[in-house]
Amino acid sequence: MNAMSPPELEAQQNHTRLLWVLAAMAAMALPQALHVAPWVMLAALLISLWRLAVEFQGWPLFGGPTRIAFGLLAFVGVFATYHTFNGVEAGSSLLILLAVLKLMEARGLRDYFFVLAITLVIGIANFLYDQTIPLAIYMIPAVWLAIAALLNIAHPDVTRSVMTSIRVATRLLLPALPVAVALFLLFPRMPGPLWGLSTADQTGITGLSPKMSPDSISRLARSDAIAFRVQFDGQPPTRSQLYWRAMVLHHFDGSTWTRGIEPIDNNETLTTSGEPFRYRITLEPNDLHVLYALDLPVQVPANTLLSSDYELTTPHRVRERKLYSVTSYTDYSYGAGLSPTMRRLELQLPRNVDPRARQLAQQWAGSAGSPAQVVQDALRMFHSQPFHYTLHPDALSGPDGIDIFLFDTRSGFCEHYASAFVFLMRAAGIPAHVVIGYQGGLRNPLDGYYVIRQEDAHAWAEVWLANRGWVRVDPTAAVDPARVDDGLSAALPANEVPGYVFDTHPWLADLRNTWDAVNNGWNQWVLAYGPELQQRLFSHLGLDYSNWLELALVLLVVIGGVLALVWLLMWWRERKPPASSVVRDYLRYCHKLTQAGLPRRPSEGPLNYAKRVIRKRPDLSEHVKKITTLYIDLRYGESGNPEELSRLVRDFRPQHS
Amino acid sequence: MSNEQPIPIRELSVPSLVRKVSAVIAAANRIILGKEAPIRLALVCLITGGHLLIEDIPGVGKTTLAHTLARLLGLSFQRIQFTSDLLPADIIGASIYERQSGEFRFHAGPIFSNLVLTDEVNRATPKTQSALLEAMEERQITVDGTTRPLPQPFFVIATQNPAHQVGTYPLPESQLDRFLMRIGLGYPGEQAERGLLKGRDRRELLHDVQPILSAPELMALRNAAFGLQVSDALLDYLQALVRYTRESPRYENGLSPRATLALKHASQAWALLMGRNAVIPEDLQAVVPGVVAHRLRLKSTHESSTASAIAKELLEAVPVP
Repeated sequence: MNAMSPPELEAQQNHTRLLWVLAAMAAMALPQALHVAPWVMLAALLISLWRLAVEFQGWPLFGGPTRIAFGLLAFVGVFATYHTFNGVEAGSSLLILLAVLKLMEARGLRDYFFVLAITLVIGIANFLYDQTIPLAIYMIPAVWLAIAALLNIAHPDVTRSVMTSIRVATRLLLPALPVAVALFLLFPRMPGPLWGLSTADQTGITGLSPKMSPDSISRLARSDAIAFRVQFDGQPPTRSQLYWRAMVLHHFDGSTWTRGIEPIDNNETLTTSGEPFRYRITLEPNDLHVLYALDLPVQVPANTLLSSDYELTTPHRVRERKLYSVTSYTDYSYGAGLSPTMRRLELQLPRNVDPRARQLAQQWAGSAGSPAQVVQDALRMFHSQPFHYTLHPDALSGPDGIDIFLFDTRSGFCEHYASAFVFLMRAAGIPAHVVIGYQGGLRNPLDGYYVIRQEDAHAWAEVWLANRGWVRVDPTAAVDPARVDDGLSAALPANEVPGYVFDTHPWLADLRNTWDAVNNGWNQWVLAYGPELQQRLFSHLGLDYSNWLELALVLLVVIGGVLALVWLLMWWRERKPPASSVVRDYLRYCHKLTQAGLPRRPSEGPLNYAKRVIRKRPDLSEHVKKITTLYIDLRYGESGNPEELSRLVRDFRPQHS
Repeated sequence: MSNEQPIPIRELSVPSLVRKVSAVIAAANRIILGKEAPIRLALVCLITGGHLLIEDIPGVGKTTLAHTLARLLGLSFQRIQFTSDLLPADIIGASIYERQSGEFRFHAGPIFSNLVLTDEVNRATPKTQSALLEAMEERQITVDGTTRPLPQPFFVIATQNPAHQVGTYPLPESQLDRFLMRIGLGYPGEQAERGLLKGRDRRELLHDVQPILSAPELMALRNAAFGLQVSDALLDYLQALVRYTRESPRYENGLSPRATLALKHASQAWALLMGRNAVIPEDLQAVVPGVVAHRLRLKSTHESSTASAIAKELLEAVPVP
């Protein structure tokens, strides 16, 4: 009645397909807008709008030459923007542009399938930029929509509602979910980022750098970005013990401390006492060869090296989040035997700078009985004289910065104190160096992880005392003990505290804790699932990780099992109710007739079947009539004697009569 | 308007009524030669209380069948020829100013009748069609704010030409659904046509037809049919058929609950006419062509499927449980 001619129908179907493909594409490509060049998204939008105008306003499609020109233009534009076709942004841009151009020539099922496949790849590419929870949550409905679009491309139907499409998509996705989980857990993981791409924009990393100049740490203190998270096995150390060692700086050029020549000293002697602390660190990318560890690391993870300065170094820069376990002792002494070479290194000072500081140090050295006394003299000076701890020290430019700080401005952040203290020690003839790292960290009550942020960055000093080796001295603590005991915000004047909103609004702090705990769980359980964790899971399951044949077999069995389970579930839902004795007897009767060469057609009712049987085998007439009448009475009239039917069917012998 | 005469209740015994229906079929069969199956379906439709749509090419006896049934069932009868300029008021009636009394009086249209034959229903404009179809559903007419019930029983037998014929407004699905059944007549067989050629003029024969059933008897038959037992086993089969139409990708849309109910009632009426006291799958299968064919539309419009082909395919696809 409402018949449509085939071309008309095809046009209507393509109409549906186009709308669904565009919807899926918009959902999948939207996160790309944050990363690819704006002109790419704008061009894609304009071409899509044009395509819609073709469909609804009768605008012309691009002709072949125009399409080719636009395609070439896309390549040229992408190359001009990124200077390469390689890389996530350039690749995504090309995919997006070519997908919308493909719509300009999409004619039927095959073309729309193709465009949707590209759309799915564009969706996957989103995760190459960003693997955070918000994107993952966003992608769930986006994938859903894409699968619904797939349905509508394969079976376009104007009358199907969006809800129906979504429902069917759900039914398709649900059985895929366990398979996806199995693949996630069991498919062999490659170490390193996907496809060897460097994932993060390296210039964006804020964190420690392997040198210290007068503003390098106070700059960090304004960032509340997370540096790393720590989970202690058992009792955690007290707050004042939480010195996270990163790097030791030996060389001073008058304003900047650097690591200098890496000291090689194999005569290290380490003595520890007290209980060790075992903990796991989740390090955010720091773009350094250094991992952080609690002062002082003793047992370190594989593939890392402990330098003679007890820096934990790794052969590759940390450019992805990294998980590792360390054991540390907070009660230690090391480096009791200092070689002459090392001693010379640790006393190095630039010539002819900061004469006032030198003079003061030499004066201390002359009057004090021991190096320890000199250390005390210096700390006493910081403590008793009007030194201030502030995030915004006066600029210390030019030569003699330490003199200016010690005798004129007298206000500074930890790097000023550490730098000045080590200078004084070296000037007094006591080997000393600067240590940079982090101090403190807040325990998140929700998951028990300690969160150490960039604002916890710190610098302190170590001095070498005969018989005791290297001893940690934190001059900042002498100026303002609150920095070590209560953290940065307690130590700074209220108007300088970076995260002060969290102290005045406790619910904001709760919110931040919650969000951080969720993120941490995501990092620990989803993103960090790499070869190491997979290996651990396999050994828990008693599997040999190196035997790929066994792994493949396990994977196959698990996926097969999941599919079988899904199939079983579907079968269970479709299964028929248990047959009653009447039905069983009737089926037995049908079976006997089947063996006699007269099978019942599935769509045949009992009466028609009986008529057909009697036509073919008049000799069975009486018996068949009886059985059929009784069966109809029992099954449809719900009256009669089922035993009678059993007896009749038992005595029914169509083959012998 | 109505010819309801009180009939003693003992005359309404079901077996005698069924015998009377057989007589009706036999009598109708003498006029419409060789078309027993459509006649039986049409009767089942009327016993069920549904409206009937007869669709076929002109000249195969649609109108004659409707006429014959009206006569045999002893129902008050009106025929409306649908044309493209027919207006709703032509069917329903209108309030007309009367000079003598000085007021408007409602003049009932031809629809106030037990059996309304609307010839060539798809030649009228949709406006007129919907006026008729509304009356079919509501069984009452509202004119000038006054609601007037239609006589009981109320049947519409509509005939229509296939949609692809010139000058037709096809009925939309929603209105097709209001017809309990759609049947076709088809060309007569060789023998039947020979009988037609040799026999007397059909219109003369029609004049001789005497009513066999009456309206109250028809109501009694309906009550008897609806009292017939429908077992769970049969409902399983019925629901399996309906489920298939809803889940199979072959159809644009599945059968509605209204259609499901129609199938149940029609198969009860069929079983009654077959003299059974319970409905069996064969009864359901017999009414499927009439009830479902006009409610199902095949998705692929390349193959044109006749009503019986659609029904046959559906029945073959669903096994009898």
